[in-house]
Amino acid sequence: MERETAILSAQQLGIGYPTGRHGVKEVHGGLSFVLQRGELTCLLGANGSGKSTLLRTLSASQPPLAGEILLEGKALSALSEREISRKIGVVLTDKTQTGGLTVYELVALGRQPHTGFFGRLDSQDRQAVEQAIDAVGIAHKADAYMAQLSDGEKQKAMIAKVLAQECPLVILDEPTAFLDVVSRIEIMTLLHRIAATQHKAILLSTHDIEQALVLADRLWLLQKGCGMRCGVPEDLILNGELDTLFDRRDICFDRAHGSYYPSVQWEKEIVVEATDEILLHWTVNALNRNNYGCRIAPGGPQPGLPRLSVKSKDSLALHTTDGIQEFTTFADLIGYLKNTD
Amino acid sequence: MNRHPSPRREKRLITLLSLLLLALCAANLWFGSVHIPASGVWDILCGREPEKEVWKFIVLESRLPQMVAALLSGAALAVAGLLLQTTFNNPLAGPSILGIDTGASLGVALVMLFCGGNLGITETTSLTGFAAIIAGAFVGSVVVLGTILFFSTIVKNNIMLLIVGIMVGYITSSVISLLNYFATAEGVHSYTIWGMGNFSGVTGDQLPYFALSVSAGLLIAILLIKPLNALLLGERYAANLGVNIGLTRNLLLIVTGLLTASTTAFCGPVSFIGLAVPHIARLLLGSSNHNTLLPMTMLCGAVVTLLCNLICILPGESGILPINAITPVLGAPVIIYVIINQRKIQYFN
Repeated sequence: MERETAILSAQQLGIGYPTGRHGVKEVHGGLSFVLQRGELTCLLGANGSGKSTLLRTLSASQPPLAGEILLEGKALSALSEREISRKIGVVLTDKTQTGGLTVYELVALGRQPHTGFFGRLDSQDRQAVEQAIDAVGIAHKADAYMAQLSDGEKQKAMIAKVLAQECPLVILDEPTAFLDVVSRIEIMTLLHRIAATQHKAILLSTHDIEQALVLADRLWLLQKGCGMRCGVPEDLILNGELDTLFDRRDICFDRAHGSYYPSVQWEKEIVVEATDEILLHWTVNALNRNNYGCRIAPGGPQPGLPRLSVKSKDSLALHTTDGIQEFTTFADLIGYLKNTD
Repeated sequence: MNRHPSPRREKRLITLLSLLLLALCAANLWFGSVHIPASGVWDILCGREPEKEVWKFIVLESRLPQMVAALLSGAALAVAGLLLQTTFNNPLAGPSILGIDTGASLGVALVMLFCGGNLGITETTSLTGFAAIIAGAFVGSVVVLGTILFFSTIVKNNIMLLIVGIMVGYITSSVISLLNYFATAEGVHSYTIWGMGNFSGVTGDQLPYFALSVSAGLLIAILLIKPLNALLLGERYAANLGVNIGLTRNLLLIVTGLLTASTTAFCGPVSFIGLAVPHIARLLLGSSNHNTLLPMTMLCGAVVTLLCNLICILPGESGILPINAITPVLGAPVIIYVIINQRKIQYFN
């Protein structure tokens, strides 16, 4: 079963780039991984952790320093450029000159590995182009110039190009960088759906960890000096692997919400009780930001500490030794806390 | 890529430009320092004997080669410009701005200096001398182009690369000036005349060689249409689409060198055609797709250059204007227009 769905694998792979005449700079050594068909794999890591180097190595734009990459069981280094162009499609962050092409013409460029010397499209090519444009949902823009598209639509057109290429493996380098939230979610959802419906292996690098945790079938966590950890998001989160992805004291991973936040140093403490999870989360958020460490009630009596009781978003009661203060908004509460300093 | 935004516009344009081309060809044969009536030109072209024997000589030995030279040079330089713009991913690249025709000039100047102190092709140059001059021009332009290609791997900023090109051009010009210092006064004079650009230098005997080298360059350019389209996406995308980047780059280098070198050797360094015409073609066509853009660029290059040549010969009896006095007047406004309107022009974005 494993053999059937795995498309690309590597054992003890070393990646890096040559420096100067003879030297090489190894970015990572001993990487072992498998990419599965039908799965969306997200590669996460800090800037400089070697994400781009890994993606370039996997898309055969640069050779590995050690080990071998197997594509459908064959050594990647033994395949010709044309064979690779039919197996691995890429979406990059490179600047292009495609403003003067229509969306259809751009997507049709993806057929180049399949067309003849002059690149003429036959009916099968046209069908593939149209299906690709349909799949990313920009059929109504097929005749528009690339320059007339929004950034999100441009990225969809590039994805359509890679779909028209009909490669079983698609590698995308930060496909959601520079996009707004709506487009990011659209692109990630689209890629997740394509991986499942078209049975492709899709590998992408991203800084958008929240989206990746929601939609990735598998995560690759790349960290400088620590190699790569692979797994299903939930396993990695609950094993604490994401806590240490960024080797920084001042950043914490919130396992409950799947996001990173700055760790706070507080000088004062307060007891907090709230009627539901959402209220509690945002109350703690507000208090942390304002220099308060929170103890979640009930936790036994806390003599001497002020206590904030949140019944609803417009009913906040602060119990102190001086008595009870009522607030109707967080703005009022925060204003009061700042004034009492 | 057959789904073009407006195939009808494309057909209309090609028809219109072809008619314009024919009209300009006719006008280039008709006008000149000696008045020959249109009927006389027609008679000569149809092989009939004209009223005066000398007319036949003027039309067939002077005006026809000049017309064909202008037509071919225009197509060649325009295509060279288009190839450079696509290769460097830079709409402001061109053979003159990157100093490639200066490189060709240097090659010509070197060959001429070592072969007798004359600079530039004159009507008395022998055929072997000719081959040497073309080879010199080719080597000169390819060396400059190769230098700039090398710099393009280091300098990623487009505008900075253009400035590097201009600097390389300056250095090449300096060397030419130094060579001039050692050349005979006569040689310097003929080189200066040649440097102003002139399509009348190509004689009927030389024309086949010129036509052959330009046609070879244009043919290879046509064969490169598919990788050129892939290169619109940039080199890494093109490589992923199966394009052999090294081979394509080398072929583009050779073709651009050949086209620039042959025109420069025969007609002098002609400015602005290579830079401006691809823009005219793209603006008219509304597409960057080389399937249509490349033929359109050839056609526009021929039309624009014939128009320039016509303007040059219009003064009639008082002589011929240098071509480089006219091409900037037509070309520079196009570039300024394109730069000012770059936000509105699709292919710039």
